[in-house]
Order: sequence, then C-alpha cells, then structure tokens
Amino acid sequence: MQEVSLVGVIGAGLFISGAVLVSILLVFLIIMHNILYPRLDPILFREPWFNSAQLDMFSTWPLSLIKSMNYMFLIAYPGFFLNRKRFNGLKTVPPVQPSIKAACKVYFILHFLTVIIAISLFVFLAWYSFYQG
Amino acid sequence: MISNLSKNNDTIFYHVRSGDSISKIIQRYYGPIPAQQRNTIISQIQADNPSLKNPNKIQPNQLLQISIPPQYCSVDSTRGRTPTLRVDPQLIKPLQLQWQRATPKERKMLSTLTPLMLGTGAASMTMLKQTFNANKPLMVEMVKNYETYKAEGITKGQYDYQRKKIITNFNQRMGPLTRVLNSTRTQSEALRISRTKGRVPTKNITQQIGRMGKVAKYAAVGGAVLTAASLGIACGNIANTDSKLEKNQIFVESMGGLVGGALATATILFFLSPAGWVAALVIGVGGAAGGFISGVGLRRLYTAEFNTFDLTSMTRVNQLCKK
Repeated sequence: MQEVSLVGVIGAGLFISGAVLVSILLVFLIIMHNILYPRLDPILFREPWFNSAQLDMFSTWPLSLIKSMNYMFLIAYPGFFLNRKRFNGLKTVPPVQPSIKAACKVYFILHFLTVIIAISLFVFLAWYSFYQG
Repeated sequence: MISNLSKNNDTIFYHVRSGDSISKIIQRYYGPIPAQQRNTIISQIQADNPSLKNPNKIQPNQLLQISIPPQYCSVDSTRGRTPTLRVDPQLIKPLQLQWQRATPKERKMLSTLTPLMLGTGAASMTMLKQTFNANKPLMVEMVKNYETYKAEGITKGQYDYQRKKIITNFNQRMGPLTRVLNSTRTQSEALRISRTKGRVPTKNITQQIGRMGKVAKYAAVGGAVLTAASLGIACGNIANTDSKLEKNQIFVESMGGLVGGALATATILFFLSPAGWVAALVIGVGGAAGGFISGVGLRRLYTAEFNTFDLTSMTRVNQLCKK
C-alpha cells in the first residue's frame, strides 16, 4: 500500500469533507425551501425586497432555492440581515416556529462551514499546483 | 428570399441607441444595398420582432433580433463592432422577455453581457448537440451501404463488414450517449434493417436519425442534462482507456470538477445574493472556474499521492463504465 504524505491526507480530507458537506447542504436546503416558501412567500417575496426580474427568476426551480436561502439567513440572524440591502426597510422578521428558527441556524452554520472548507480546498489546490505540481 | 437569408446568416440582438434608424442599422451590416433588398430585410426584421409595429419608429433601448451576413459590412466604425453570435432560437424568447422586464440600468448591462452569457451557455450546450449532429452522417452512410448492397453493388460479406465497421465507429464516437438514444438496446439492434413486409427496410435508421435530432434538442434545454452527459462522456473515456492510472485520473478529475463547482457556487452564494446579471454571471463563471481548478488540482494530487488506490474499482465505476 502506498504511503500517503500529510499533504495528501489534508487534500483528500478537505475534498471529502467538502463533498459531504455540500451534499448535506443541498438536501437541507431543498427540505427547508419546501417548508419556508409557503409560509414566507406571501410576506417577503414581493417588491421592494425583490425586483421584478428577481420575482420572475426566483419563481422557478432551482433558482427559487436562493430565495429560500435568503429567508433562512434572515430568520437565523435577523439582527444582522435586517440591515442588509436585501431586506432593508423590513421592520420585523415574520414569526416562525422555534424549530424552524433552530433549523435555519443549523443551516447557516453548515453553510458557513462549507464556505470555510471550500476556500481552504481552493487555497490548498492552488498552493499544491503551484509548488508541487 | 427571406428564409434563405435567415438560414445562412448569423442572428444578433441589436441594442437600439438614440440616433439609430432601421436603414442605418441595415446599412451598417449589409453595406450599400438596393432599395428592394433593404425592404426584404426590413420585412424579415419585422417578422423576427413582432413587437415592432412600425420599422420607421424604433426607440432607444429597444432590443432587435436581426439576421446579418456572417461577414458583415461594418460601415459605422465609430461605435465599435456589435458582438455577433449564432443564437439558438429557443434562447430568443426568454431573452426578449427579460429585456422587456429589465430596468434601464439592467438593460445597459444586459446588452454588454448577453453575447457572453449566451455565448458560454450556448457553447457548452452546442458541444453536446454537435456530438449528435456530427454523427448523423454515419447513419446516412449505413443507409447508402444497404442500398448499394440491394443494387448488387457489393457482396453480402462486404455489406456485413461495412455495417459492422460503421456501428463500431458510431459506438466509439458516441460512447455512453448511445444509452440515451437506445436505452437497453444495442446500437446494432437499434439500427437493424427491417425485414418486416410492408415496412421500409431502412426505417429503423431514419427513425434513429430523428431520435438523435430530438435528443439534441432536449440537450440544449438544460444544464442538468449537460452535467449528466459530461459525466457520461467521462464514463465513456474511462471505458475506452486501458491504463488503470488514466481511468482513475479521469474519475478523480470528473468528481473533483463536480464537487469543486458546487463548493464554489455555495461560497459565492453565501456572500452574494444575486441582485442582477453581474451577480448571476459571477456565480456561473465562479462555479465553472471552481470546478475546473478543483478537477485539475485533484488529478495532480491523486497522481502524486494516491496513484496506487484504484478508486474506479473501489467505487465500482469500472463495472458501470466498461466497453
């Protein structure tokens, strides 16, 4: 059996964890989308928070998932996202069950982890290709 | 006249600016032409743009679909050349719709980005379409082979040999895409000469040609088909490679590209909620770039660090992708 160096283990580890995380994230997002859009679309999916082009674009799958992602970020951390450009002017977050709020927080953390892994993988691969390749 | 003009020409979207008139636009692309030909072109433009009621009253910011000669005359060089590209008719309607709904700011951006977006999208879709279309002549060759045999131009042995050669060639070129066409049937079965009385002997082949055209059309519809097909092509490459190392390299590169593309898209979406065309383009290009970097990088990593691990056997991909 070939001996794998530490560099190899790090690269494979990043790739595998990235692949697992992104798969979980996608399934999670689809589930949350189906829970959230019937509740929140009537309240949030309209102007001024989405312009007419976005209202058209985010009505179709899979782009509608992006809209649900925005909802989740807002529910998870309203203090931060209420002041962002997307929902600027919205006074309060529409009320949702605590379980949904908790799920949104879990999603946000998972997505943040995926981003960290993705950036690490790309930096690693750039470094590896440059110095080792 | 009009239909001939459309077939041979390129299609462009022209963003009307202030000071433009239909005659000026035509002169720019066609050069000085007789009045009769200009009228024909105006009729063509009207036919392509149903919203254009009066060709003498075009408005700034309008988007006109125009057929132009492939080597057009750029009479007015002060504004620079409008980028041209061949456009799939299926893309025209959604684009027109987006254009009507866009704000002036978005329109300005869109007129610059459209050729790029349509170009990259169409290029990847066209690749698959071309794969099907490029192989149609092989089937025509098969019909000719049969007809030559029936006219006693060649012997039965020669006919069988030619037929086998064409089918092998076809299978090699199409790889796993033949599965899309034939499901579980082999290519030989799908292309058999019909012996049924009252049925045209070469009907199976002509049906196959029609089926290829349909699949090519479907392929132009969505990226999901493209992803599946690109994995299918990778699968075909794995099947047609004898070297175990190379099989694994192709596998790692394909998987790396897929996961890398998804990771790049997830990263961009985390920071950027698509608020316009630029964001949409960044997501598309970023995803593709991430997929490419990841695929190439992981292939190198595998070759240097993991080349004794037979991943295609471990994952049974070699069972799935075999000749």
